[in-house]
Amino acid sequence: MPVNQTNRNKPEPVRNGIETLAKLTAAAHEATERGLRATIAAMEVQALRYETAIEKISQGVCFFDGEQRLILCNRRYAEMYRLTPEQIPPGTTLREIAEHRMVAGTSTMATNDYVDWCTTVSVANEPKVWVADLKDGRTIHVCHQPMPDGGWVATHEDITAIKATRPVADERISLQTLIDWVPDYLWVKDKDSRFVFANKALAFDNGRDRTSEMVGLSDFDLHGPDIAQQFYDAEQSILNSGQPVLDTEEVIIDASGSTKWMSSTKVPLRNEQNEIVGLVGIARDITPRKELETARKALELQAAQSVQRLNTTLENFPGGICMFNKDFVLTVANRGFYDITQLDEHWFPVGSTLQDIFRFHATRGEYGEGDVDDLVAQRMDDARMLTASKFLHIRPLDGVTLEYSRTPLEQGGYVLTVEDITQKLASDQQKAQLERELSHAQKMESLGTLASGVAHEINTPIQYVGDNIRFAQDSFDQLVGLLKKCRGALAASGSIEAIAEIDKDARQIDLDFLIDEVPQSLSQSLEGIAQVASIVKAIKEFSHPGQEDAVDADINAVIETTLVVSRNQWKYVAEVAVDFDTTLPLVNCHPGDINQVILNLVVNAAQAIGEKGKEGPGRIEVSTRRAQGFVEISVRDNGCGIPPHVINRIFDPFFTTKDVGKGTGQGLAICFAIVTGKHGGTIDCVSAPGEGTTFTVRLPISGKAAEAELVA
Amino acid sequence: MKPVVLFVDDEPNILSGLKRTMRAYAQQWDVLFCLSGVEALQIIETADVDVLVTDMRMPEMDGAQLLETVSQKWPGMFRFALSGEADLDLSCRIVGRSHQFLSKPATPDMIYRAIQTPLDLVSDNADFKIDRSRSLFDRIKANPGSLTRLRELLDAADPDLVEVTGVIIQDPSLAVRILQVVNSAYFGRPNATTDIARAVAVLGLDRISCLLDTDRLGGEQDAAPSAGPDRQFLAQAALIARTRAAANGATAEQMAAAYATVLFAQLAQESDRFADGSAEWNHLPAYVCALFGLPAALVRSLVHLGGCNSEWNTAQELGTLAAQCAASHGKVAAPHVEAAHK
Repeated sequence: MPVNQTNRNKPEPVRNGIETLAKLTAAAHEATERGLRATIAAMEVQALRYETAIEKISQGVCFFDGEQRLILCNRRYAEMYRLTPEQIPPGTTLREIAEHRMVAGTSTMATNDYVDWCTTVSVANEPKVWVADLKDGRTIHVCHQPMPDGGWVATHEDITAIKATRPVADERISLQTLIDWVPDYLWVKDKDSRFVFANKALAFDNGRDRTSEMVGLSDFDLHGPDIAQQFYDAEQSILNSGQPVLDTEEVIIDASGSTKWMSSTKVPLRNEQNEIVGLVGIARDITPRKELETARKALELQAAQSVQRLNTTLENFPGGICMFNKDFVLTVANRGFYDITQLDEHWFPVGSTLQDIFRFHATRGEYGEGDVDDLVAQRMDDARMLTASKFLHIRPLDGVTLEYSRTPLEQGGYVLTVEDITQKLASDQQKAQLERELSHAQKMESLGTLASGVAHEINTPIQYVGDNIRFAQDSFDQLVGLLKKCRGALAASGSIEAIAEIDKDARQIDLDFLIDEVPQSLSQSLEGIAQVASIVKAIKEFSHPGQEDAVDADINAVIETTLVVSRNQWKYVAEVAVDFDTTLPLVNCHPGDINQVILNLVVNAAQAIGEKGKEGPGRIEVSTRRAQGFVEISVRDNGCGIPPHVINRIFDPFFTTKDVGKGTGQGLAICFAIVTGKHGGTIDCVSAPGEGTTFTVRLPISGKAAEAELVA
Repeated sequence: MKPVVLFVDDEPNILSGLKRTMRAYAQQWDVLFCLSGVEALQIIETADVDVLVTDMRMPEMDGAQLLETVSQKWPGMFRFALSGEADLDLSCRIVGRSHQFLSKPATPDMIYRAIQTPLDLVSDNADFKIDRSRSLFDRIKANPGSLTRLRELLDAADPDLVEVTGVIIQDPSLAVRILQVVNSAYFGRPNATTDIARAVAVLGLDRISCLLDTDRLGGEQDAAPSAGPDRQFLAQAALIARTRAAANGATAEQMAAAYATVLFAQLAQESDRFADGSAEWNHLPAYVCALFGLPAALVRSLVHLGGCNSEWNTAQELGTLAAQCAASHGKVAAPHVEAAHK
């Protein structure tokens, strides 16, 4: 700051201030002189106004100075403490007033204590409020305001009435809070089901920020039409009937879109005239409880269903299942158990003892000969061993094979399963049979491959042996012709010696015999060769491998082939006569298989004849004929025949009446399989013991598929 | 000049035997013998061989190879297989490269008839000499549509025999080939038949499929141009022939023979157009049938047709004529009866 400047300017304001003061002083004098009286009058009016105001105020008011002397108090103050204005004129000390109050019975504490307390309050230099309870039951609200000069002013208000209403107000406040914050929905509706009141929970869940926004709305504004209508109808019913509805479960969809289960109670609301003016409702969200309940129900249902399923499974299980507890009492048994063991459920229900069951079986003779008690005891001993075991039991009564399986349980007792495996055993045998057929077919096929290879090898020598014999035959004829000519020429013109010489040699080699026999020997050789050729051809055709599709074949040719191949099997016991229908159509079949059928039938026929012995000439007649979509092949023999008691079993696998080693019992079973199974035909047998047997095979001309169509 | 017949077999005993038996026909034929395919080709190069009869299994060059070569170089030569074996693949290879398959053992008479029957037809005609450049249905070209359809049918899970027959019967090239194969011993016992349905059933679909696979049913690349017989004409004529035959109370075989008569008459005529400048010859169909070893009744029917010397312009005319010819030459004997005669 520039010091010089400050110093230089200082004298100016001082001079100016003095001048102003002088002017003001002069003005003051002037004013005092002219307006003092008016001013005093105005102030008196003002003071009167204050005094009147203080007198009229409903509260008691009192002023004390710093000496604790009363400056002023109003009438209400005096009345409040049952004092008279005369008793407490201005200047009365606090102590005197306290003593007056003591006398009037309106003091709240001892006089000294009261004076001390007021002193502390005044010195505290801050306002103080307290409530004083008078002995007469009144409550005074006191507000103590210290004054700057050390005194104070106090207001006294009788709040007895206010205090009396307080609990009601408090209660109201807390109820509103409760209503607002309770998580349940609370509402009041009018007669038209419009909200008059709704609490916060209800408002918020309906997407309203304030409860007041709910007023005037109906359920149609909040819910879908279906649900709203439902609520409306229910509420109208309450409003009309006056009957409350308690704890009804309802489903709603709230503003957030989630489905809620509510338990609601709705009670009609009546006015003083007992008229229904609306209804009060409360609803609680029971969704979690409901979900739990649903889950529990689902679980229960699931459990019930699994039990049901288990029971159904057990009941429908083809095998028998049962359970015995540690005391060997039947606790579980399914239908299969009763059916298979032939126990009567009424005699042996759940609760029966194992011993009783054993006794039943033993008595029926299912455990064989012996004392029933012993047999039962043996079984029980075995059962008590409680070991896992599996055993077969063939019931002597009906030959049924039962397979038992016993599994001990940890807690004692065991589970027993029983199965009738009679059929299974049979089908196992059938399976084995099929396997044998298959291997037989494979054997035949490889044999066929071998045979056709061999056949080819044989064909080559047959070709030239045949050619050569024919040549020799022709040549011999020519030579004999020439020889005869030479002899004639010699006889006519030759010398006697020469003729004798030739004749002698001719006799030596038996020329006439040669001329007779050589042609015969050659033609017989040719026959032999022709026979070899036909056998080779038959073998080739018979065993032709790889022909899997059915083809149209000439059944007569097929049979001829078979007869050639099987000649060795029958030629020593019988002659074969054929009677073929030459107009037979081609038959769609597997020629290799038909070969095998015919072979089996012819060989069987030959064996039947052989078995009969040398009673007469054996004869096998093979004939074919056409019969309405079928070709019929019959093979008849005059052999030993088939006894009536076995004729029904001849097509069974492994059934044989032949001596051990003479047959496998497979032949006719295979025939049956080929004819009926593979070709859709039939095979029948008619037999008279001692006279002979006729097998008749009928094959559908159009093959198996076409036959199936016809039948369909 | 006598026809020259050449026998080929690697087994000397077979040749010796044949030499002895064939001596009986020395008056009619010049007969040559050799032990291998290579040797055979050398002989064919120098001598004018008319008839080749060969074994199938031989070292170095087997019968199929020999037939293949000869069918290309001298397509007009008679080509017969004489074998004791009917192996599916090997047989397929010689279909269309040979005219007949004779199975061992074959009697001299069988061999003689196979060779002499077509020769007789040739010698009846003074103007006609076996033309070794003339190919008779060796490499026929079938309608590609038929082949595709046939393949589809055969590939089906459950092929329908009737439909297969339908495709074959409508394609002359296929029909001729199927008849040729079924009447010879290519696949075992020969069946004397002119009925396509029967031929298909007897051969079985496996074999037909094999033939199709090896391009022996008219699918060859070097097959003759496809300007073959007019299929529609043929189908009409064949239908008429069958209907006429049926109207005259013919058996199924006779109806089939009527069909086959039309088939060969028409096919041979078409084939004739491609012949190398040869004069038109009425007995060409009969000649082809005889060469293929088809039933004698069919050959006679065709000879009859050729002898009629009549022209046919419409399918109706041909059909009517074929039905008459087929009817007048008896039925084709049932196969086992025919076999029994042999």
